[in-house]
Amino acid sequence: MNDGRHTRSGLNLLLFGLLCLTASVSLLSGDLHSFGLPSAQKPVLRNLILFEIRLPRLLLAMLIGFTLGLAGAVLQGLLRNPLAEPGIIGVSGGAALGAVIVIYFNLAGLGSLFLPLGGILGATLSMALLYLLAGRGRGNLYTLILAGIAINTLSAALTALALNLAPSPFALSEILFWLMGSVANRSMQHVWLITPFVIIGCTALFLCARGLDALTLGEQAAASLGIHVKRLKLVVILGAGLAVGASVSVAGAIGFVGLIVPHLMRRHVGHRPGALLLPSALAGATLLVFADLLVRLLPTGVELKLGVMTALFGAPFFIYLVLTRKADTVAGR
Amino acid sequence: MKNVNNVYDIKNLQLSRDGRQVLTQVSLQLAEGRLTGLIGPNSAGKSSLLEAMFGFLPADSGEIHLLQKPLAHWQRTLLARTVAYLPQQHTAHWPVSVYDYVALGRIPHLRFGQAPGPQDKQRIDQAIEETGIRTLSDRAVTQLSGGELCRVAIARTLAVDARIMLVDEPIAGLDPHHQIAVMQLLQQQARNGKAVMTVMHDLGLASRFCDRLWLLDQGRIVCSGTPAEVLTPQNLRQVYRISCRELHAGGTRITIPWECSNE
Repeated sequence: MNDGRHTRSGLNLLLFGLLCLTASVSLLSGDLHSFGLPSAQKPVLRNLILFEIRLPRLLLAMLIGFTLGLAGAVLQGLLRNPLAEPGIIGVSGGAALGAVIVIYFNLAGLGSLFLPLGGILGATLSMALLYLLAGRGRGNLYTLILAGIAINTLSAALTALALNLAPSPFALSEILFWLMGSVANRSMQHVWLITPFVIIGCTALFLCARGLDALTLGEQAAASLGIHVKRLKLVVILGAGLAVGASVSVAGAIGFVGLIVPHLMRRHVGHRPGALLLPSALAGATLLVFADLLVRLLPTGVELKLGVMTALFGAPFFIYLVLTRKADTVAGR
Repeated sequence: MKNVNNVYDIKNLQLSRDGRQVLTQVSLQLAEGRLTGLIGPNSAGKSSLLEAMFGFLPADSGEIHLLQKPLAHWQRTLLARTVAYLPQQHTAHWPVSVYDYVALGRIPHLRFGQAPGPQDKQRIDQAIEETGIRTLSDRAVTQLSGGELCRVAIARTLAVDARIMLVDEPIAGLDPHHQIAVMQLLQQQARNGKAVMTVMHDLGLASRFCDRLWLLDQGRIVCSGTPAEVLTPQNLRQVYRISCRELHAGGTRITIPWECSNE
């Protein structure tokens, strides 16, 4: 907290620079000209590619990466567990189910926003269910985790049911591909749709920084420092629910970003949960933009899905974490 | 007699926990400038009383006044600045540095979004100095021994710079050196004018260091007063079912638990 403050603002600046760099590379990578069109149409085409195709994709990757990195750091801080991730409260599962139902009943054809709206509805319902299951009691964290698992299981079961009863092979493959997570073929409409949710949700999460720092000492000691622990939990759940729910609604479930990024950043902020939030958010955005760039540029024939890419990197990292995890909690006397 | 200021005034406090009554008709006053020991057998209600004094546990009936104001009327942050509370478990969920850990004690003083200023840093440094943990300040709290962690936790409590300190069993599980060091530290805080209350089990250290003792048994205050008034053979037999020996050293009467009584 003493001289660390300067290093931490330096870190944030560095991460922001890295994000800008990755974003510029992503925007400009790939062909803009060689479509064999008359030269008069080239600027029009270039603008079309830049602003109608690449920009929404880039902005979504940034917003979603930012959200996942931030929500991961906040939930790990709240649950005081480095293996927590944004999906743990069940909201991603609910959002995915909502979108799957839209595809299943073929409502997506009615308008491009039906799919994300279905996702947001699913996220909202799962948050309501989470509140019913875990909100009333004494705010016990185990109840919260169990409720999250229950909601995830229920969503997974219903999603599997939708796959099982899929009306056509086409719907089946559409659902499967959607579940893999991607920001390809999205428009600025999608960006505008989730931006308010992401802004409100992320603001709520940033407000929790000091409370999360205090929770390092455990709930009772945090309360003795004037932190309203119950309210803190509620704000985290609402904030993460809004921002993550909206993200999953447009892009499907993109795993591991919210798990890994806080880990990569934690030692650079002296392990303080509150100081971890902004670096995690910025690094999450950078990572997802970079992963999406790889997805676009890798010559794989069929384009890889973004969620597949993050899982391919993330799962081995997760195994590494489990293997090397030391006891990093003490409860001495 | 020296004029003392009472910071806590507890009247007929009645408290239950999970449907079980844990405190019955407790009436007490906590004075400034004194180290007060709260003693009693296991599950006598000591920690519950401490938690009630911070407002963690709502009372069934009775009153707790803090600085002449009902506890329930205290604003959360103001209470956190006035009373520093150290729970029994000195938890550290992340391997933050000792300095950052102690700095958490300044949270009640920081306004929303405000960074710690020079005054906060001075108070943090002072707490680190007073507890003699300067050499540890760059270490991760998760790497400390039990005795070191206890001193760091007390430093975190001192950094709050509160008038009142409520400490729950700080010396349990520590070696004699650290036990005495912690008791001296608490005594020093009381000498500096704070009201310090600590839950403890060691009757020898209680009689050696505490200015006042509260003896709690089955949720009731059996006796309160100076160690000599409280640690009588009759009280100890009745409450702990033990007999004691006494040792006079340095002008203090030290109580040594000796054997279990047969009654």
